[in-house]
Amino acid sequence: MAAGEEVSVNLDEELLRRCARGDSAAYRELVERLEKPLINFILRFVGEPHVAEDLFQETFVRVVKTLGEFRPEASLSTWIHTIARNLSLDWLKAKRRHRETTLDAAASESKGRVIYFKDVLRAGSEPPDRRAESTEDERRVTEALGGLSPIKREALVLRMYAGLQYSEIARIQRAPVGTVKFRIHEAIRDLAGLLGAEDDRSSRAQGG
Amino acid sequence: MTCTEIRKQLPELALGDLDAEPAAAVAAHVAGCADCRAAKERIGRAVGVLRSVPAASPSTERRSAAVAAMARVHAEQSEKLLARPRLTWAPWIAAAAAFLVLVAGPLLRTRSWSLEVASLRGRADLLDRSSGTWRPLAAGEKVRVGDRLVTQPGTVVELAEGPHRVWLDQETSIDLVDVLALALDRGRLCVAVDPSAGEALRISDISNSVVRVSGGRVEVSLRDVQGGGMVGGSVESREGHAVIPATRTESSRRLVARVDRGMAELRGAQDQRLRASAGQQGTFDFGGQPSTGALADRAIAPWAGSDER
Repeated sequence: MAAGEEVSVNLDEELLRRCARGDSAAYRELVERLEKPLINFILRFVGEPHVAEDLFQETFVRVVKTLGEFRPEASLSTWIHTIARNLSLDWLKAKRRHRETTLDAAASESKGRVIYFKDVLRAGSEPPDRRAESTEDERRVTEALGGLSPIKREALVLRMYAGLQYSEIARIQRAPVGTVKFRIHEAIRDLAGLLGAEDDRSSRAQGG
Repeated sequence: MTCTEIRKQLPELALGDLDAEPAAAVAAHVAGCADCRAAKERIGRAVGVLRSVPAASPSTERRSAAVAAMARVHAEQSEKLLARPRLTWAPWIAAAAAFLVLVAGPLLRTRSWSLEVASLRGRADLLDRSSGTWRPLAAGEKVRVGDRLVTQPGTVVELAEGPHRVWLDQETSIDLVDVLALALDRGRLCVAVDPSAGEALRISDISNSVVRVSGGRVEVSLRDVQGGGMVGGSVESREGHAVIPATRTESSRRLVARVDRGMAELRGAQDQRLRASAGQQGTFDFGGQPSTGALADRAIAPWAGSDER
């Protein structure tokens, strides 16, 4: 282990010890240290901003409740992202159960996602001065990510939006690094494939 | 490389995770292969779109709400831990308790709600959780479940519960979680447990490492991993003055149980269990992983007046 890592591990432990004593300054420090990757991971994983903020808060509550379960072999970031991931998966499962009561609606929704993504890709190639539509783009990116399987989406989002290393994602997903890489690359290919299909269709339309 | 091999590497290239050498190989292939070039562009565009959405931040209110929620949960958990009945001992209850201790005691073990301060050398302070105030400890008084006790430099306190004894060394801080459960926050203590009492005394630290002593004499301390010296936990303050001196910066600390007589059971945070017998010492790492080894120095608790027991 590099000297720098050793120092950061000790700082993590020190911070958690202060949290265990109920030190509010330590809670704030912990939230501020991890809020960026965490909120971006949860938001892109569950796709609903209000839910993401609730899950964000619940993650830190869960941290206080389970401080004794932290293993120093894992990094603080890995541990907290695992908690956030488990809470997010629970929420997604509950949402899916709720949805399955209307199967037809779910089927038509997944078709809708495919159409949305080609729009996203088109919008992405347009000049950046169209910033006014960023919220609309955001909604469409969310829809596109929502079309991926949860396991691929989770790996992709942890890498791209939380900025985690492959080895950290491997710990969170309890899978070999190679599998994690494969999931991320598959996710990107899935999304790019939609563009390819769309390109083929439009070139056929132009030719005919 | 074949087109299939090249395409496998395109997502990694788009993410910027591909090393220089394979990246150059892909670039060379793509320059002369229109199909792979189109595939590279598609993948690059998809990654570009995913990157185009701005990074999110939690709202200020949410950040504060999260911090407040953490503090509330901590308070609730502490309260649950300390929520033992605080009886105002009405005379009839005292009479009933006396009856139980005197008559039924040998047959039925009764649980008291306090430890008695059997002896006090120097000065110690007690935080009464019900009122939230600090006061000096006096010999002969009771330390109740929920109280925090802090000893000053040069102080040794002896606590008694039935046949059991607990000695607190100087600059030690404990919480009385239960009559037979002490949470050690800093410093060192020594326990002598009568095996005939049939109930173990438990000493824990904040990482949920637990030392159970069902009989014998065991010294339990929190030690600095690097220097080996004693370390502190939290700093208490009273009316603006520190009740105990500010501690050195803790790098990493270990709970160490040194067994003089009898046996100690070590329970890690993940319920790993080990036993340390007389002449051995048990050590927990921060995460609660226990290990045992021979005791280097047999002198246990020279700081306490415990040698005569």
